[in-house]
Order: sequence, then C-alpha cells, then structure tokens
Amino acid sequence: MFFNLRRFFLASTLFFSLGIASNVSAAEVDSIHFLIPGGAGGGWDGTARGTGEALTKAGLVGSASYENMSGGGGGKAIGYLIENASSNHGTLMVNSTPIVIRSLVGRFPHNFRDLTMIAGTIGDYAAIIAGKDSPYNNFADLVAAYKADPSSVSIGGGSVPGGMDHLVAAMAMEAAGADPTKVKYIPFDAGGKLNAAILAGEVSAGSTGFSEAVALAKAGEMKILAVTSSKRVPAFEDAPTLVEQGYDATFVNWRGFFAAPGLPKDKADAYRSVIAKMYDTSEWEEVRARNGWVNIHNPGDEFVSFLENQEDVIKSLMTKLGFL
Amino acid sequence: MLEGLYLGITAAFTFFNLVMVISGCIIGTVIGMLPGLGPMSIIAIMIPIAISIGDPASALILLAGVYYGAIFGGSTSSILINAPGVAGTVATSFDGYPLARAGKAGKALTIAAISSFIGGTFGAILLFGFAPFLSKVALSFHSSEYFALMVLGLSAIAAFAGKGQVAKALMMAILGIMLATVGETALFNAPRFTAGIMNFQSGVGFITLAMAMFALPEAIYLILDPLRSKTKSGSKINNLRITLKEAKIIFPVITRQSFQGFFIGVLPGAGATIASFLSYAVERNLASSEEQKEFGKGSIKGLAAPETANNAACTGSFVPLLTLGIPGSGTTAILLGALIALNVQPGPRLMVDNPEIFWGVIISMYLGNIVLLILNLPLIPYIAKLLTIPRNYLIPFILFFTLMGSYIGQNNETELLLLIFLGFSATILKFANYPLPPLLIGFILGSMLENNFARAMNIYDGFGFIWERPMTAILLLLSVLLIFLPAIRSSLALRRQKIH
Amino acid sequence: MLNLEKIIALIILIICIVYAYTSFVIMQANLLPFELNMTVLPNSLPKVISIFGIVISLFLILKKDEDIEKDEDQSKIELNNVLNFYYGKALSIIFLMILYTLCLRPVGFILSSILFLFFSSFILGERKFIKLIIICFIGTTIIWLLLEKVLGIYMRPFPYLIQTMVS
Repeated sequence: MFFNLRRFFLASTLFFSLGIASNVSAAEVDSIHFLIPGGAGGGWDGTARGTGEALTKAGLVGSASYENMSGGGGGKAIGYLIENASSNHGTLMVNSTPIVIRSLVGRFPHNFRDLTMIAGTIGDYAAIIAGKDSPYNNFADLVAAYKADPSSVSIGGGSVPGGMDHLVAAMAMEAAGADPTKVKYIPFDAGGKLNAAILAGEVSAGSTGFSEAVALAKAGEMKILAVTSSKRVPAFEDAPTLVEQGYDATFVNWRGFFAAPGLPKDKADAYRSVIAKMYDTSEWEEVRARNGWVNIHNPGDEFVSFLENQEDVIKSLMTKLGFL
Repeated sequence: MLEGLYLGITAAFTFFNLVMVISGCIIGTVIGMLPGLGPMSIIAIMIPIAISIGDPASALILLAGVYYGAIFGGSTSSILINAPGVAGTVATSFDGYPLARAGKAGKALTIAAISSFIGGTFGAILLFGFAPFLSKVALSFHSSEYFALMVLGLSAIAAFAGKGQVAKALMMAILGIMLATVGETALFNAPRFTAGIMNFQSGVGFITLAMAMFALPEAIYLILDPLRSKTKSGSKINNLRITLKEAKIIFPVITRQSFQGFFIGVLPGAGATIASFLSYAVERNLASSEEQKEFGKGSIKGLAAPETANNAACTGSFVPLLTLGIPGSGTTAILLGALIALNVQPGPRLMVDNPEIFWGVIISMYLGNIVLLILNLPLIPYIAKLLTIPRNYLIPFILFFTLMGSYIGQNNETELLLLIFLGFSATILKFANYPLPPLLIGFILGSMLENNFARAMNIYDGFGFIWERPMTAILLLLSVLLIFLPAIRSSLALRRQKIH
Repeated sequence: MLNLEKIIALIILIICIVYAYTSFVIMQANLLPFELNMTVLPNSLPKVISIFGIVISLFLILKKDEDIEKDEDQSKIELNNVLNFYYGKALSIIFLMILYTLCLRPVGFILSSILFLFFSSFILGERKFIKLIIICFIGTTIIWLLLEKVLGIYMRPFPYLIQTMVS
C-alpha cells in the first residue's frame, strides 16, 4: 500500500483525536464504527477519520469510532467483516482500488462482491509525469520514443509491478497503440521517492497519483504529460488529459465504504443517504479541501457497476500483461 | 541570509512560541518512550492540535519540539530496556544498553542527550547555510549510489563478529535478510515466502522484530536469572558525569558524525536509520583495535556515533522537504501534510514566498535542541532511576510495553503471536551466544539493498551502473576500503613490528 | 552449551534448505512471463543468500569446538549460572503472554492487561496483592486513557459481550 504516500499522510494525520464526537440528537444514523484495514497513519485511516469527522460535525451521524485492523494487506479486515457479519451491522469498512486488484490476483479469497457496497466517496486521478528538463513535452513524445525503442524509456512508479501505477502506464501505452507488455517499469518505494527520482533524472518518466504531482508541477519542477481524468482537473488546469490528446483511456483511484454482507436494505440506504447529504455540508468541504481530495460520488448501484467495470478493464489488462 | 536569520529569530522568540517548543519537547519525550510510538506517529497525533493553532510558524515550532523530544524519548527506551521503538535508534541500543547494564545508565543517557544536541545543532547550522546547494547534491544520488551506501552500512555487522563469532554474525545477518524477503516488497508483484498464509503478506513488522530480538529476550533473561537484574553498583546509576578523558574520546566522533549524518539525512532515499548504521560502521572501522573490541559491549564511541548521526540526519531530511517539497521519510511526509494544511507549500518557492517560515523552521529546530537539552539533563537521574524499580513490577511492565509496541494502532494479534515466537527463538539463540544485532541489521538494510540493487540493475540492464556512474564506483570502492581498513591496519602494524 | 550451538546451526541449515528449495524450484516455476525479462528476479537475492546460508550453517556444524575467548561481556550468558535459572517461571510467563494475546480482543484491553500484569508479577514472586492490584489497575488505566482519549488510538476496552450490549 505504498502509493499516494504523501496524500495518505496528509489525510491521515489530521484526525487522530477525533474519536470522541459529540452527540447530536437529530442525527439520521446514531453511530458508525469505522473499520480500517490498515494501521493508524495510512491512507485508509485518513479517509475513514476524515469522513467520520465531517459526518459527526455536520450532525448527520451521532458518533463515530475507528478501529484499525491491519494484516494481509487489508485481507484480514475483509475476512473479519465477512465472518462476523451479523454483529457488524453498525460497521463501515473503508477501502480503495487495490481491493479490486488484490482480489483479482488472489491475495485474499474474497472480493468486493462478498460485501455490501455502500458508496464510493472520493478519488484521485493518475498522471504521467516527466522532469522539467526531459525531452518529452507531451504524451505523444513519450509514445514516439517508446515505439522507437521500448527499452530506452524507463517509467517509474510508486507501486509494485502489476500495481496501480504500472497498470496506468500500460493502459496509456495500449491506448496509444503500443505494446503494453514492453513497458520498462521501475518500481519505487513510494510516490515521494519516485518524485525524487524524476527530478534526479533517474527514470525517463513516471506514473503516479495526480495529487502527488500537482505541487511540483505548479512549481515548474516537473511536467505532467497527461492526466487520466475525462476532463481537466480544476486543481491544475494546465495538465492535459489523455482523452484530449487522442488516447482513449481514463482511470480513477477511488476510495469508498463497504458494509458487512447481508446488511438489511434500510440500513444500507440510511448509510448511503447520510453520505450523499454529506457532500453539501461545509464540514465536508473543509475536510476535503484540507486533504486535497476530489469528490467522486458513486452511491449504491452505481458503485456496483463502477467496480464491475473497473474490474473488467483491469482484468483484461492484467491478462495481457501476464499477471493472470 | 542575515536577513533570514533575523526573520527566523523574530518568528521563533516570542513568549507563545517558547511555550510551544517546551510543551512540544515534553510531550515528545514522554510519549516517545513508549516503544511503538515513534516520532512519526506522535507528530501525526499532534497535527490536529498544531493546525488548530493557526499560525504556521508556531505550529511548526511545536512540531519540531515534538520531533526532537520523540527521538530522545526513543533513545531512552533503547538504552534503558533495550527496546528500540524506531529503526533509527536500533544502533543506539547496541552500546547504550550494555552501558546501562553495567550501571552507567545515567552516563549513557547524558552522552545520548549531548550527542543528539550537538548533532541536531550542527545540522540546523548546515541546513541554514547550505540547504539549496545540498538539495542539488542529493538529487545526483541514484539507486546505484544508494546500493553502495547499503553495502557500507551492512559492514556494521563486523562489530558483532568478534573472535570465534564471525561465522555466527554472518549467519544471523543472513537470517535477517531472509526474514526481510518474507511478504510483499515494492519490487515484485507477488509476495514471497508466505507459505500461503495471508497474514505474512505484509511481512514481519520492524517493531515486532526489534522487540523480539532485543527487548523480549532481555526481559526473559531477567526472569531466568535473578542475579542479572541486580544492576551493578546501583549507586552510580544516576551519575551523569562524563570525564574529560571521555569527552576527548567522543568529541571527534561527534564532529565527524554531525557532518556525515546530516549529509546522509539529506538524501531522500536514505534517512536516519541508514545514517545511524553507517555512523556505527564507519566509527568502528576508524577506531583503534583496542577500542574496536569495546563496540557492542558498551563503547561510548559506539553510543555517541549513532545518536549524533540520527539527530543530524533528521535535521538533514528537512533539506529535500523544504527546498524541493519531497519527503524523504515517513515523518517528513507527515510534516509536509501539516504544512500544506497550513497553506504553506514547501518547494523551491518557499524561500521566496514565505521566508519567515523557512527560516522560522530552522531557528525553531535549533531552539528545540537547546530546550530539550536543558529540560532533560536535570531529568536524567530520575529517568535512570526507573531501572531501580523492584523487578517484580519492572519486568511485567517491560513485557507489557514490549507487546503493546507492536499492537498499538494495528490491533493485529497474529503479529503479537509472531513476536512471542520470534522472541522465544531469539532467547535460545542468545543462549548459544549467537549475536542478535546482525539479524536486525540484515533485516533493515537487506530489503533496501535489494530494492536499490534491483532498480539499478533494471535501469541499466545489468551491472553497467558500476562503470557508467563514477560516483557509484567511488562509493563502492570506499565501502570496500572501509570494510577492510581494520585488517589493512593490523597487517601494517604486524609488518612494522617485524621490521623493528 | 556447545551442543546447543550445533543443534541451532542444524535447525538453521534446515531452514536454509527449505528456503533454497522454495527459491530455486517453486519460485522459479511461478515466475510470471514478463518477469523473465527482468535483470533481477524475485528469487535472485533469495538464491544467493540461501547458498551463503547453507555454506555458513554447514561450517558452524562441522567446525571444531575451540575455546572461545572468555571475556567480561555483559551481553553473554554466564554459563556457570545456567543450572540455577528459573526456567519454569520464564516458560509460564511466555505462556501467559500468549494467553494475553488471545484474550486482548474477546476480553478487552483493560481487563486482560490488568490480569496479565497481575499474574506475571505473581509468577515473579510478588505477594503484596492489594498494592499489586492497585498498581496494575492504575498502570493499565493510564495507558488506556493516553491511547484512547488523548491519542485517539482505538483498542477494544471491554469484554466482547458488554461491548455489544452497550452498542
């Protein structure tokens, strides 16, 4: 879980002492127990505590508590939620894109269909970046060099081979009509280390989270060759999308919430309803802005179809790359 | 620059900010003593409070106090109960704990405090003078150079390879590297050596292994052997005095390591852990053969070196953070988050756009170091006295803190069972006089060695980096030289003897 | 204790052989197609260190026992004392730690910690029960308050049944 380290910390750190929230009598949901499949201080931790903070402060939820349960890269918490489903109707588990990837490659026996999908709440786009002195000024330059000699273009990323950053690079090359299996992918420990390697010129280009690249791009230290959103992102309008450059590829790294399997429909709807209302509150806006999150709301059934679509795309790509 | 100094001083020296730095130091020291809560988690915890202050300079001053306090607190638990809660203080326990066992806990803590102070202060001065320049140097380091640094760091194992122990020390280091290969790494898609057990996918946690190798076997030995818990010459335990002779011995070490540690800290891919191991390895290899024997058994040089280096490195890690906006460690990543939340964007523009913050941070670090020293020196006798708590109470609480170290914030019982199992095995290894520190060194450096080596190999499609990158070649040569320096020196001495 | 040394070396040798088998045979067979083009494979380092490991552990098993230099090393075990060690106490406390781990979630942090501290102190020979209980209670409560209320780090404080009844 190394991707987006900077944002992870940024997010996570802000909410440690918010476990005790005030009771508001008019709350629609009395309490939510957030289950976080990773340790305190990670990205999931930040998302859960941030959402909990906004929900309780806005009076939509009476109180929120947070439980970290790390192990098996998130697999342990998923297993726990499924095995103890009947006693966990008050629990929401936070998760993100890796639940799709990791269950595809069989890291844990369950997948998102085994859980009740509540909603996708926030997300981040991916970006292809290069150093400021790099000869590549747009994605077409990079593709041209890659098509000429794939081994001359090294693309760094902050996740493992077959992880999100690698898949995005391969997906973009595939959209450009190049062979995605030839991508010379160099993994780094985290987004911050990748940024250092880009500035140092150790790799030709990088694949990373958009939010992690924005600050250095604004400062003119690196170039964003392409972003995987469908329209330009307001946080940095100068970054061109892949789509507008003529490459049909989009990707969202989402984060969202899941509940125990077999959750009664009225309870699930209640959770979905408070999350939907949350977006209009100033409390959420404050949390969102502080963390630099992008609202990507996918409630209920939309979330299901979104996940299934993402699973299809990733599955075919991973099969092509030889991971499956 | 003088203007910057003025800006920084006016920002830092207000009554409110002094209160901030003092409370930061106290909070950091107290919480930092709990294994499992290192600087990173404590700063993370303090951030909401810091942000609620609103003024970026005051918030940072508070956090700088917490940062230094936490590092000092971590050293304290390494020295007193052999429980290094952060990787950066593992090397501290190599010699700090033996000193405490020999009844010199007060002295060890004082050396640690003073070395940290000098390392941190030197670091702040270097940061003040050379930050933009050094950030450029740092960026010239690629994976291949990091690989060379790890090779040098691994030579710290030599300190535990005394007579008849060479093969055992190597064996332990190899076991450590093997443990490091369990689970997922950044490098490869599939987790390795998990035997199909899901819980092993995340690998063995650092704190779990540190507690299992150091704190737990020690505690078990205290139970096994009641004589062991009777600390020798208990009256000296709170004696802080360092003799002039000792000061002369550690002075060159502290000076060297302030610079070296700071520079290693500047490198975004290295940081305080590497800095402390490197300092330990370098100082041991530079020491005379008499002094070398002391390393790992209570050498004051061996304590001063990592303590200086890890503090200097922590300060150094602010260079890439402030000048480039790149966090080199988990702690600086969190600080970056805090800065952004306070509407300050670190990076090349920071010095131009918010000079008062840039200089304020530097001055506050300096201040944090001074306050920490002033606060802690009078407290050391009392902290050292903790060891004189009756063993019927002391041991249960040591065990409790050891277990909590790997449970806090994770709530993973499997990790605890693993800790108990590894701790039990480590106790038996200790029985047969297998040295345990090399196992931890191998574990920490092994994965970094593999990561950087593999990256360099993949980028250059082979060993090309050795001749294509002169800096790598120089560093590798330097590492080899340093590793063989003791041998070269003794053979020279032998030859000289023969001539006479 | 020399025999113990050899027994340990033998155990390590077995570990190394299993490790070597895994990296040379199993991992080699499971390599993904794209990984074969990489210069460093997931099993490259494991292969190298497993060979080193086997060689060194063999050396440790086969080498002649020599008188290891006797020094006043604090970290070494004083062998003449070994027969008087409290093995029973140490083993019961290790057992207690395992029990504590298993109780943490179902029994809750506070109660299980108090019991753990109490019984480990009891095993060590403490018999002033009132004082002991007070110290265990205060110690646990302070840590829990610090973690839960000040630092916001959650641990299940109470037994599972009570917890579910409350919520």
